[in-house]
Amino acid sequence: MKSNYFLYGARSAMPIVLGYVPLGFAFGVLAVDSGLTIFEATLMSLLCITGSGQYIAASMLSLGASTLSILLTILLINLRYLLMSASLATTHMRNWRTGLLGLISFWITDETYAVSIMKLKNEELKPAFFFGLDLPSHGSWVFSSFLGAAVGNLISNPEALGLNFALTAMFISLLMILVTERLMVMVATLAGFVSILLAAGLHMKGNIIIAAVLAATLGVMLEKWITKKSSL
Amino acid sequence: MDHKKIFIVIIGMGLINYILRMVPLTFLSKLPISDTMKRWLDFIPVAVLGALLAPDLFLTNGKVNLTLSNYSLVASIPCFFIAIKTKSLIWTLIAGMAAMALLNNFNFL
Repeated sequence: MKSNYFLYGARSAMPIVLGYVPLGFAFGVLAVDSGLTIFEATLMSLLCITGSGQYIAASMLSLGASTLSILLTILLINLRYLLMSASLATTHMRNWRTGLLGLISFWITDETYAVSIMKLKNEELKPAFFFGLDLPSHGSWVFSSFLGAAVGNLISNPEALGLNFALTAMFISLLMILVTERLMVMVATLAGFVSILLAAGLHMKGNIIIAAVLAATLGVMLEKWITKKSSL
Repeated sequence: MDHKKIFIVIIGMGLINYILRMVPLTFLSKLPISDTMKRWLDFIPVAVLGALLAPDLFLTNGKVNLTLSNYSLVASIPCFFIAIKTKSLIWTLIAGMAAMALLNNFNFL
C-alpha cells in the first residue's frame, strides 16, 4: 500500500513530463509557423493532448485542407485510443465509478496509457494515482506548447539535451517490463514490423491501430492453436 | 488564416479524441468480457507499444534507416540492454537520454 497515490502518480509522470518538453515545444513552433496564434496553439494542446494528431492538424490547416478532411484524418490516427481505453477496462479500474472513469479517460495518451497499464498489471492503484500522473503530464504538454509558440524562434536546438529520446526510452522500458511471455514478444515484434511496413512502405496513417489489432488477433489465434495441439 | 475554422477544428478534434478515449473504458467496464476478448485485450499493451516504438527506432523522416546516422536506433541499444537487465524505468531513461545527448553533441558517428 502506498500512503500517497497522487505523489506516486506524479513520480511516475516524470519521464513523460520531461519527454513532452521538446515535443510540445516543437508543436508550438510548428503551430505558429502554420498560422495559428499563440492562444490557438495552447488551446489545442489543452483540449486535444495528442502529439502526432496536433502536428498533422497544424500542417493540414496551413495547407488549406477542409475542416472535414482534417477531422477525418484525426479520427483515423487516433482510433488507437479506443484500444487503449478498452484495455484499461479489463483492469481493476473497471470497478471505479463511471463518472470518475469518464474524467480520467480525458487524459489517455500513448504515454500515460503505457505507464498506467504497466502499473495496473502489477499492483492495486487508487484513482489519485491517475491525477498525479495525468495533471503534470498534461501541464507539461500545454506549457511547453505555449513556450514553443511564444518564444520558439529564440531557441535554436532544443534537442541537444537528449530530451527528444525520453519517451522512446520510456516505451522501451515499459515494453520490456510488460513482455512476460514468449507469445507477447512475438506479438510486440509483429506489431512493430507491420507498423513500419504500413508507415514507411505504404505511407499509411493509422498504422498503429491496424498493426496492434492484427498482432493481438494473431496472438490469440496462435495461442488457441498451440493449446489445441498440445491437448491432442 | 481563417480563425473561425481553426476553432472549429480544435473543438472537433477535442471532441473526437475525448469520445475515443472515454467510450470503451466507461462502457466496457460495465459489461462482462469473454475469456477470448480478455486475452485479446491482454495482448493490446505490448502490441500498441511495439507498433509505437518500431517506427521511432527504425524510421528517419518516414524512411527505413539502418545506418549509424539513425541516432534513435543507436541509442536504443544501451536502452534495451539496461531495460532487460534492471527492469527499471528510471535507469533506462538515464541510459537513453545520456546516449542521445552524447550522440547529439559530439556527432562522433
